Amino acid sequence: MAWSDFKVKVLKDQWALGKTAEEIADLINDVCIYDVPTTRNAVVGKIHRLGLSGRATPPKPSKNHIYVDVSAIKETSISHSIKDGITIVIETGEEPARIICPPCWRLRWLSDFVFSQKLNDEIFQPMLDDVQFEYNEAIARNRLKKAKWITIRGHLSFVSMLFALLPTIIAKQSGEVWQVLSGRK
Amino acid sequence: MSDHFKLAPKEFEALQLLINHGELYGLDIVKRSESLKRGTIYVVLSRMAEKGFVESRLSKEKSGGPPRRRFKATALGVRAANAAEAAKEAFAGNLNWGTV
Repeated sequence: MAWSDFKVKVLKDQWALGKTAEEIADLINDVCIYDVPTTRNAVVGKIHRLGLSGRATPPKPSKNHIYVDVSAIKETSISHSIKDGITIVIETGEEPARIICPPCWRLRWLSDFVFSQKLNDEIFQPMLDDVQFEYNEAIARNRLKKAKWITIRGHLSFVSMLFALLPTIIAKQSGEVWQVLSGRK
Repeated sequence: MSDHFKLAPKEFEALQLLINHGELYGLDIVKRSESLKRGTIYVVLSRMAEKGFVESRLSKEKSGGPPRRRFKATALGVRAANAAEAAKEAFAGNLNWGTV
């Protein structure tokens, strides 16, 4: 199997991102569909030949923080606005342990309440998930100010996203109103 | 129908990144791009998904946190990007030829 420059670049990038050899092989096979399939062992061999030793590891919670999926908690003490599937961070360094609300959780609730399921699933939730991922990463490295900034930036992104969507929403709504009015006429 | 094959500059850039780097999160695309912003990337991706240029799936992160949406270019997206690239080159070529 030939290792093209493209495949080597993908391998280096993904390895640096902390992906496993199997995931990298799957990714290469997904992209280079006309080539001979790349196996996990081929990827491992290439990694050794390229001398790629150091790699980024995925973020892990620091000693004082643990991540908990809200759906795993039976108690209803957590605000009903924090929905299932969202991870919260619990600060265990203090007594009693303190729950840190996920960043932009009010925006999650708001977008869920105001916008359609489709807009939510495709546009708002992925953006808020990204914010949470970055936030978790900052918390894991004990960069609390950075985590706060990420939350603020998340709110700003949400507003700019609303402005980006506004023309589409207005056009759709006016179209519907126009159809209703012309139907009445 | 013709609307489906229009590719805005931002869409083109996002598509190129997806083609070059495989499957990416919205945030990865923003980090790798100079012009795409956090506030607009998902609007751009959603428009491209409607046109069939990209597809997405939810993947659970090992490190914790909510499942994240990963995007990748479809075969139609690759063709659209290639066509846009060819059109751009042809246009630039014509301009050069015209100025000689």
